[in-house]
Amino acid sequence: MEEEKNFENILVSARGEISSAPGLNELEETRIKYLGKKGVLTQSLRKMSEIPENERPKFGAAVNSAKEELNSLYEKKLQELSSADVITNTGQDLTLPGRRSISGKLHPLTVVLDEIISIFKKIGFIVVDGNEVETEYYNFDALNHPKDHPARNIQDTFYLKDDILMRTHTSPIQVRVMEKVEPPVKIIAVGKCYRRDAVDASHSPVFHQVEGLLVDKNINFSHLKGVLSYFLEEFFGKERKIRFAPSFFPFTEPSAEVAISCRACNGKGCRICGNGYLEILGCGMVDPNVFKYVKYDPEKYSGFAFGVGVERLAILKYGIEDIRLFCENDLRFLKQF
Amino acid sequence: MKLSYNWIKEFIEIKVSVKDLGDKLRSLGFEIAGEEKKGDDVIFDVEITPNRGDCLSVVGITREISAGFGLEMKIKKTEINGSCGKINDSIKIEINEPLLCPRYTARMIKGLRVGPSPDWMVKRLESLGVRSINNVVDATNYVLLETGQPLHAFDYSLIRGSKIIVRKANENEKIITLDGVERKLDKSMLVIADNNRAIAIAGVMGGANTEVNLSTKDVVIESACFNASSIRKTSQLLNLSTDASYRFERSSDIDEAMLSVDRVCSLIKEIAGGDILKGVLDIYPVKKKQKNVKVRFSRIEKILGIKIKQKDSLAILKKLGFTVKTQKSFFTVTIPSWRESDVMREIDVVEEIARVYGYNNINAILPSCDLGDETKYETVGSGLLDVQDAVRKILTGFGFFECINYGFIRKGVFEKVLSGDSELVAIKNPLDEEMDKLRPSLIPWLVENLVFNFNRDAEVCRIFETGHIFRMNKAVGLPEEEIMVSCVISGQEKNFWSDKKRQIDFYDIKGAAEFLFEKLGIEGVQYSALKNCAMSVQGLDVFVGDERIGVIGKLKEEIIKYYKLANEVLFFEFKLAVLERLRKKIINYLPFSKFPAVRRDAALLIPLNVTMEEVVGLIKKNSNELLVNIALFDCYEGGQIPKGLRSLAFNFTYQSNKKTLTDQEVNDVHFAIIGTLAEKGIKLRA
Repeated sequence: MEEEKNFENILVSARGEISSAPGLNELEETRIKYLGKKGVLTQSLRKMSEIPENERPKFGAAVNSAKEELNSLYEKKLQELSSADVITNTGQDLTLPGRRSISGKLHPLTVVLDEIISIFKKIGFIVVDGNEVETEYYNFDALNHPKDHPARNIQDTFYLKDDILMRTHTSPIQVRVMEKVEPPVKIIAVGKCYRRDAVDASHSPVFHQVEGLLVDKNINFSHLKGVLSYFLEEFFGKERKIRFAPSFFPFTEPSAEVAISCRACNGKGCRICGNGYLEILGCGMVDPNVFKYVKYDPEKYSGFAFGVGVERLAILKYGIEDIRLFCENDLRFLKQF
Repeated sequence: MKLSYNWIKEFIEIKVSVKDLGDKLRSLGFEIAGEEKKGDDVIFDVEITPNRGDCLSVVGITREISAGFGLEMKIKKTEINGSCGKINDSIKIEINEPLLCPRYTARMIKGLRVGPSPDWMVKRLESLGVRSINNVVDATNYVLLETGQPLHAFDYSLIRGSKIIVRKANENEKIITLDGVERKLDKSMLVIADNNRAIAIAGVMGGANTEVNLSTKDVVIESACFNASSIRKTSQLLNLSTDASYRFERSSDIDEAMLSVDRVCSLIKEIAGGDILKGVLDIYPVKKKQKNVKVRFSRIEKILGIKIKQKDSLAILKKLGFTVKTQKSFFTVTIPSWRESDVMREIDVVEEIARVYGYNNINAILPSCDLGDETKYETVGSGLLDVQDAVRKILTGFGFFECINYGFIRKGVFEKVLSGDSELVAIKNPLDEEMDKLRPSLIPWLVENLVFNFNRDAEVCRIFETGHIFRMNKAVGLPEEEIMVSCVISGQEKNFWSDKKRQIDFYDIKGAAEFLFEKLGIEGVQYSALKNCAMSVQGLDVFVGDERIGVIGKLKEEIIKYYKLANEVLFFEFKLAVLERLRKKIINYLPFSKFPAVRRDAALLIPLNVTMEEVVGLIKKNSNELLVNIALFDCYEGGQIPKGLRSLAFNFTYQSNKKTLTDQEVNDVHFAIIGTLAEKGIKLRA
């Protein structure tokens, strides 16, 4: 009984001393006094042997709960004092925000484009740009689009004059390069493109494209797969699966569409992706007809080309749900990248 | 296109799961957009690329499946024994335009009963989204879905003169089509006509005047082949796309015309009764020759990068319907009629082999990575990608956010102001009448961006863009393109909590421009009063020597008012090509002095008509090598400063690279310099 009463007294004074500790040093002294290895509470437990055996569990529990209570009281007080201490020690609130020189950010499309370019540069591609206004010849004819190809339709392409238009892809750059340069050609063509698509969450009349072209002796389909697999693994990470499926483009034969497994479901199929894969890019072996336009001998040279939308990659990379955000240029959006 | 799995199973014995079938179709190039269970059937929604018109049918897709799984396909042959009269006695066919209609076949059925279709047909058509009309029309639609051949049934009693003529429409000829719409035709369009009038728009839609109806007893069945681009043009001009036109646009199989007319007649007889007349009309003026393509084994390997066994290639091609003869080093491949528009060359056959062999069975190999010679592309691109990159990094480092905008200009004050400058480039077919021209400057969109952000509680907006601008070159009548970098800045700035809010002003944009030049290593920049800028009346033209880099300015009041902006807006716009030409690409280290520097401050009283730039120029001109730096630290006017003057306070730094300068030496130089300024009426402030 005497022990219990004694214990109650200790607890009361410990509570009082912790709550009223004026500074961090005093608080630490109090902690050691009651909760330290040789502290009063610890000592109490050692006296366990002096109390009757049947009362021991009750007493033990009481000591432990007191310890817990004092500990939490201590933590609370510690925080309070530490916070105040910043001011007491220096006379200033050092937690106020610091002085910074301001800095801006690149547009997310630039960030993504830079990343794409840096990956292709590592494997020897060189970046080339070109005009946004193009002729029908470079945009369609030389890329093996038949005269009545639907893409030439006034519904789909912005025309300035009968044979002058806003490029619908960056492929005209490839034609211009091949016209002037003998193989080997290893380029990435980048830039803004225009298609007459009404604006909604997933369509924009203006978008950005990266296209690649590699022409040399002995370039084949397995190299196409090699380069694109390398790119996609670098960009999205090695854990994503890559799928090549046949497709159709006028300027490539054979043509393929490349998809990567959805991050959310790992290729099993979910609400985001539908069938488990997300279409990323179109590609193929350059059609011999395209080589004829630029006077390359298709018997001597072969090559592959691919095209990817920068918006599409940015959307997948950052989880952006609406393509319109890219051209709104809302600072709250731009600040995030 | 919707496809029924049960229907496919009528043509091939296949026992794979729905998922495996979908995966196989995808690997063959037919993306599955969806699949849906309907009763005991599964309906696939398959995307067919525009080159594969032959796969717009059950038979076409089944052929692919048979190649994909290496299974045999069941060939259904229809035998028809005409039971009464000869078709030749009932109707004649004449093709006036053999180029637009290379083949026209027809059969006739007499004494049938038009009525509802049997349940199984209604169910199947409806599960594929085709509305049931009556047994005769349903049969033509059914066979179209099965074989891909568009078919049409005319009520024989309504054809005038017992004659079908394939001719071009007369200008302004009218026809009411089956959908009840009157359509005005022109001379470019092909029609099916009788002796008096058009009775169908060829390959697109039949006419109401010969429509099969409940009292129809005798029908003529058309199964023809029309020129793909002619049908596409007609369909576009009339803004009328049908199942038939969709298939003809993608090239129909000229041999199938004959097979399908038999198939549909036997089906009609089965569900609507009647007798098929003896004989079939088949007008086929120029018989197509079979095409042979030589496919070298070496070429297959060269394009695909793998060795595919000859027998595997052979099996693939045969299953797809190609006839193949194996020679010593190549195949001679005969193209089946349904692939003639799509497979014409060796490379096309290589694709067929690769496609069925499976792209995923071809290894991925990284080709050797020779770093190409970058200089050989210099004549092609703008050559400005590097400077563009540098500019972007410099400006973001200076607190600007990058924007990317459309290459158009929106109607409004900017279009008005800028079209005075030079002719803007108009779009012939704009999507949005509000944006029907190309932008001649990056500033208009940047100001739009600014307004957008101020309307969303932004307090300060510092933004830039690099991009193409367009102007019409009147001399050649063609648009000209230039790449620019532009900045726009406005608002109230407060960067640190103890600072006061500060209105962004001209010196903010000037600082940005100076920073940009300094970072690019552009020297000798000169400013002169702004002339001929449509967007500003207050600002500077920026030059290096005779070369104009661009402008720095304060946006005109007219524009500020138009956008109801609360703060002044400052901008610059520079030509990237000029920045690229002037920027320092090589840095040469300059040694600096080991001896201490001495600083002298001097407040100078300067007439109001003399610019600081002039003063500094004068000081530099009149000093020697000991003056290593001069920096302005105050500018003051009014108060005790006499009228007509202002005070500019400079900090002069003197240093020798040979010795430690004495006070006397510094004073001698310093006051000598200041003394020379008197000629411009500049003196030291007392």
